[in-house]
Amino acid sequence: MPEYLQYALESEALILGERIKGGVFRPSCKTLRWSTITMALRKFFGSKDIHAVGIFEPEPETSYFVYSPAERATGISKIPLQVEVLNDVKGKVYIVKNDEINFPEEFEIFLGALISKGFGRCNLEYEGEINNIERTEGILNTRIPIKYKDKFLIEERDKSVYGYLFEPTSETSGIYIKSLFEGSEVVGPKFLLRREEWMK
Amino acid sequence: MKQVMDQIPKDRKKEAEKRIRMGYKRTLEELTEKWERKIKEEKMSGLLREGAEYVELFPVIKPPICEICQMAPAEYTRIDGESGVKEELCKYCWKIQEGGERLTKLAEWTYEEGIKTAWLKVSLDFDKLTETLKQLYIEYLKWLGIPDPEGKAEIRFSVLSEFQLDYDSFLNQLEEEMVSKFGDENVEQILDDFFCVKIDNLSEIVKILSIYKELIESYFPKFKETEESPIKMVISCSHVKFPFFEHWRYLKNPEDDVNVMLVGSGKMKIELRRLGDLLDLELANKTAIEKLARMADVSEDLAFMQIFSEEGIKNHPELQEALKKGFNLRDLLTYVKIKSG
Repeated sequence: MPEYLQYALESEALILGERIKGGVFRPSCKTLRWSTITMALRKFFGSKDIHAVGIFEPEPETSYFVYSPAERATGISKIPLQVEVLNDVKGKVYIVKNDEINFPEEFEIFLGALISKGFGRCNLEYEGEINNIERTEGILNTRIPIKYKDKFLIEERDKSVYGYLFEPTSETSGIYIKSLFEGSEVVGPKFLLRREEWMK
Repeated sequence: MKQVMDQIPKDRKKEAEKRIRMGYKRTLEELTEKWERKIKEEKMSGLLREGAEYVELFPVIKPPICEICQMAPAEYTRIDGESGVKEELCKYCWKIQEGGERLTKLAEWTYEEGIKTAWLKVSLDFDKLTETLKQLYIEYLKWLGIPDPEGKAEIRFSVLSEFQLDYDSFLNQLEEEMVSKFGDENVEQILDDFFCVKIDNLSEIVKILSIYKELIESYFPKFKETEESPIKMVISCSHVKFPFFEHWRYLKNPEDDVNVMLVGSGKMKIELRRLGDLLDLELANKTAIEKLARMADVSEDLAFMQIFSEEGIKNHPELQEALKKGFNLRDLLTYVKIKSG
């Protein structure tokens, strides 16, 4: 049975962009999906053998940031974009325990978009190891690829919400993999389920 | 139900039974008709997929993925003639786009400058409805002096069916009132309980709130006396180009009986029983209200301080009064923004 390392995550401002076609408004994802946190940790620790997901608790307040990307050649900005920002984010990150990597007590990573504008700085602080995992039926609170659902002890039930997460296959390419999204009915560890559901 | 029927005087019994039967029949016929029409339309447009809500979901999709649904490989490329923007689409989204625009008014508004839209969704919470009807029924039986009202009050399908007819009529009336107040060209009805209204300024939201209040008073006045109404209304207002799914996230989860969101500018949620008091609020000093709304846009804390300052006590006696009545300050500030347009 997998074991997990639990970290507390804190960030002043995060932009975890949803992929939305066109438009001048870019909403932010309200969960810490597998692809975002896993890829950030893999990059930070230089290992491909890391799997992690996260949840935000409470659901962060949002605000809007307007910026206007300029065309590099002319220096002219054409369309102002409005980006949704998650403020004062607090949450948990669950990393599948991997003895080959020495995860420090505390470290800092960058997540999401507009890092060059000062967004995305996250502090992770070790809280403990989860060994005895209590599983129950409930509503998933994050996004996990189906092919990695066993790593997070997730079993699908009748009502699943599907979508796709991006998984890089090299520095320049990647694939979209079918995933379970938040709102899916599953059996899984309590810490990955919506609290109000399993408290009923 | 039999016990309830026994309470009805003999001379009115036949008529009551006939109405209930007609109610059942009409509801079933309407549902069947709506469903058949939907299937027929989807068959004609080639969108019908029997037995599954989702399209075929591949375990892996190699880029490009459909830019609209992000659930299927993009097989078609569409280039917009005007802007030159390229879209990679899956066969399902391609077909929907080929089918043409169904919401023609909304599509036209997007080409106009500075247009605001208010999305209006009315929802019925069925569990809450059963609970509320039961409570009202108990109160009614108590009023009639019938012993053991709790044991006798049972809400069965026939009662819900009758309610459904009233609810449908309420929604029809809502649509008529919206069209009459805003003009047909400014109201896009998406579903029976879902509208998009073109508005020139935020103060027009007050018109929607007034229509809703009057209709509730006319159709379901008792719901104003309950702690929580089973019928809820949500209005989400923004520039016309604001993404629909962001509105939808708010519209589909009403937090209170009456909810208004001004995207990027504030939220308001109040109980149905307070709606009348809110609409009766006389915000007489227009200049001071506009100033307060602008201040709240910059900092709500600053606006709070302004209301409680000496100047605020002089300029906003109505807000002081409303606060005493138990209104939330944040809700009031959103209302001030609505009123000041």
